[in-house]
Amino acid sequence: MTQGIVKRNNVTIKGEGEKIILFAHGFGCDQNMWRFITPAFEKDHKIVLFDYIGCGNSDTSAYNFEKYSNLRGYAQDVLDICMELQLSNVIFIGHSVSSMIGLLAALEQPNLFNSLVLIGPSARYINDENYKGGFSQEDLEGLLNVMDNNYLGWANFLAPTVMKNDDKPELTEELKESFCSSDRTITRKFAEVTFFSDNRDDLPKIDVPCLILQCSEDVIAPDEVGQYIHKHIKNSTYKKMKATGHCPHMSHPEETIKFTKEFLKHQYH
Amino acid sequence: MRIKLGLDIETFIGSQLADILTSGSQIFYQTHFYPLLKMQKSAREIFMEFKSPNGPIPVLLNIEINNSELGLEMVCGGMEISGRNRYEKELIEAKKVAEQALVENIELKKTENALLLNQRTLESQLRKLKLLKEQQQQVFKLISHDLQEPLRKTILYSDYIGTKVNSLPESIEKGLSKLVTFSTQMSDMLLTLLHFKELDEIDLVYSKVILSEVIEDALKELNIQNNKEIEVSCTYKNQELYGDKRILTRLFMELFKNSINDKNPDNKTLIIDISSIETIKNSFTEVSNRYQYDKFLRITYTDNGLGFAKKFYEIIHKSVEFNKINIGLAYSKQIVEKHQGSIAAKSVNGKGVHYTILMPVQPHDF
Repeated sequence: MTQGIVKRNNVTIKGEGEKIILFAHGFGCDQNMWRFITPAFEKDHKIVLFDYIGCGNSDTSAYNFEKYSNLRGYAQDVLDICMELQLSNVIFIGHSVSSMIGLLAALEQPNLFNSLVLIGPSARYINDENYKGGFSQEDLEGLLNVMDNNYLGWANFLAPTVMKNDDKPELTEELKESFCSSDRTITRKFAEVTFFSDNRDDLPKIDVPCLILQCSEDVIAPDEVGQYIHKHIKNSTYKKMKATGHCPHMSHPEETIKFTKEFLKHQYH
Repeated sequence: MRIKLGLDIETFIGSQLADILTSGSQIFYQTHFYPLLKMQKSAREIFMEFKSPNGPIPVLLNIEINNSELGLEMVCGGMEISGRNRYEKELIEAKKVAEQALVENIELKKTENALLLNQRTLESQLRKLKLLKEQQQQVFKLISHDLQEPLRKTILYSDYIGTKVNSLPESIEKGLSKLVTFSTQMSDMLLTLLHFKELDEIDLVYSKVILSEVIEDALKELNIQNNKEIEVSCTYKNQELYGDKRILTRLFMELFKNSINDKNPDNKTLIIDISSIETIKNSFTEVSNRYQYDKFLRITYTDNGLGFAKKFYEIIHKSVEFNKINIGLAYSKQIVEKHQGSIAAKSVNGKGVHYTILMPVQPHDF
């Protein structure tokens, strides 16, 4: 069974420490996106990385339409990994949609988690009465349209063949692995589940310590959203980053590491 | 291009690539495109849409990142594909229809095969269950009557000897009294086992149950509601679920009894903390590949007692070994499971217990 889940979610484990960090990638990517962050934690932590079903080198045959029609299906996979590897006191670091996935997992089994680090979280992407998520329904339909166009046969974007890059010999061996290779149908569905989700009611229920890392000029998760989450998760820590965009762990790894380490210092007594 | 996008020159120069995209394309840029560029330094044939006063302009982009003398340089080449895009839209529509039909067909066949297989498994399981049930009834009868009777007689005759025969040597009298004590204990254990077994046979009587009332009832039943040495704090707001009120009261009675039994003598007061939130989870736990998301109450129960040793932890997960102390825990598990819920236990020796109970707000057979 262990083998099953390890293979299903392409779980990789490294690092020399005892404290466990579980890194969860965001929508549109896979565990490779953590490569700029993990070296800073490898010495003192046990690092667990994985791919969601349909992303990276996960087992796409494990995809179940009903299960993954809700972020809770993804949260179940996080819990499965913790159970199978017998992880406890887990520090969960999630990017983008994984912030909410981690939150849902911690709501169900709070015993398993030490703390959550939420990078660019959003509780709801669509604007609502008295809530500014940043997008209208039409904006998100536009995203699905762009994805459809990119996933049509001629656009070889995301296909593993692109990764070979014969004209770029300076690419390291490591980078030759298929990066972000993902199943198009699943990713398309993941987009719908992610961007049409609404987890605002879950925020006040969480009682695990949370760090919110808010980027500057993040169109996907704007400042107001980060502030909203901070306001509704009791005792949460909010850090506004200099990093711009939505992927600070790729664009500004030093700042991401700094804030995370500062926060984690207070989580073990 | 600038004019086509409807931007004046001041706004255009110095703006970021992401700024001139439609919202949908911005998300795609941030979630797919940026990570790809960061890792690979180039991307080919990416579809994006630019904002313009006359509606979005579909474009196919090639991008490369070079290290030049001036620093990082991003070279972009693009082609407007409005005409082609119309044609592709039709293709996408056709593809969607075809995919949907395929999915439905595949799903149907899969379901059909799975159903047949499940029916076969069900048949063999039903047979096994029937056999098991017959065996259980034998054991049940043995416990309830055949074993109770000799015990009752042992107690009776010991009493008889004790009262009827005068001037027994003191050692014999002591021995007799021990005989009565042991037999009574054993009889009690058999009775608890009976209750445990009975739950298997009865049907739950469902009604709307208010969590706080059940907890209050349990405290009253045990007559500890005014006990100064026990402090029960509850943090929840009017949580309700459908369940058997009488049985659920017993659940909390068992948990309280266990907390009292495992009280840490170093603590002056026994502190029990119960909290509850409403959450949503998959209600299928035994059938794989079926998912239905329903409302659950997540109840957490902690105390400052001694906590339990490893053996107890195993009991609640496997409920294999019964003895006088932990049968209560096994019974609690049975109550929760009968309500289609689940219970997980965590305990640090010397730091008390921590149960996480997940109960469906409305069970499916209700």
